[in-house]
Amino acid sequence: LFHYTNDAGFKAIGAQPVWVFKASAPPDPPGHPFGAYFTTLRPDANKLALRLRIPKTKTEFVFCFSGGSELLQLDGGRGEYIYYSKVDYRVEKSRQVDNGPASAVLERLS
Amino acid sequence: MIGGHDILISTWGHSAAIDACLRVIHDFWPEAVFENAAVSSGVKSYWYFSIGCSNEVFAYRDGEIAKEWNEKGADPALCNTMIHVLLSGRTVTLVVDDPDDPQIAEMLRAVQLEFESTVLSTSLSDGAAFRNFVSVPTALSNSKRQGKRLPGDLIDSPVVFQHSFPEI
Repeated sequence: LFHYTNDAGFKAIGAQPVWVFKASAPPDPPGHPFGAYFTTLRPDANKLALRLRIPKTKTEFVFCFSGGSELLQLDGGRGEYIYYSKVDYRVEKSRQVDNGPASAVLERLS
Repeated sequence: MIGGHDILISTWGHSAAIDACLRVIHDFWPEAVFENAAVSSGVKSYWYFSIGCSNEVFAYRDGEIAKEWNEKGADPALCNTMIHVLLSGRTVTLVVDDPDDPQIAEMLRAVQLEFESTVLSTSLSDGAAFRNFVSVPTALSNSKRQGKRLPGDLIDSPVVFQHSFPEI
């Protein structure tokens, strides 16, 4: 699974040995529940920012981890690739695969 | 965090459902261009866009807007200028920025009516605001999973189809 963020988000999450993805309120007007959001779309997925409907600046950095079967699927078509947790979501060291600028992570994943 | 509102509408579950959505969008946005979301194929006008086996399409208000979306992603300045259409099973999902925007609300209502015209009975003719019966935020859906009944629930409404469309 992947979590995309910007420079500030990357520094805040990546500074801790256990990654904690904070559940937060969606932008107003709220279109989705309070939560921490993840996707199965890789950094090279076609139209990544558009499919997640976020600014491109928020896809510049990525966290990649394994597991996540307990996460909830978003209702509707985007549920095929968007999952979320209603509470802060912790990823222990053993599940952490990679993190960094999306382009660098993609290179290492390939 | 992800953006947009995911509006779910029951359909007949055929790729023609996507075409019906695009046709309605084209009626509202005559300069609209469309793009396959899953495979890079460039934008095309409604008349030249081939849906094929695509079940995920971006509908932009016009060609300039499409360029901006592709440069910036979901920039606030581009609010309500692109609709992301997905077909999964018998449900079409329309992802929009603000379903309360008057034009977007009207488009959503028109899409809903497009499918309603092929249905013999639904519970949708109560005149309530559009969002009350087709917008299904995940929080409500989660309530449904816990056994709660919700007023104006489209997805759980009994739907009888007048025509049968073959599944692909």
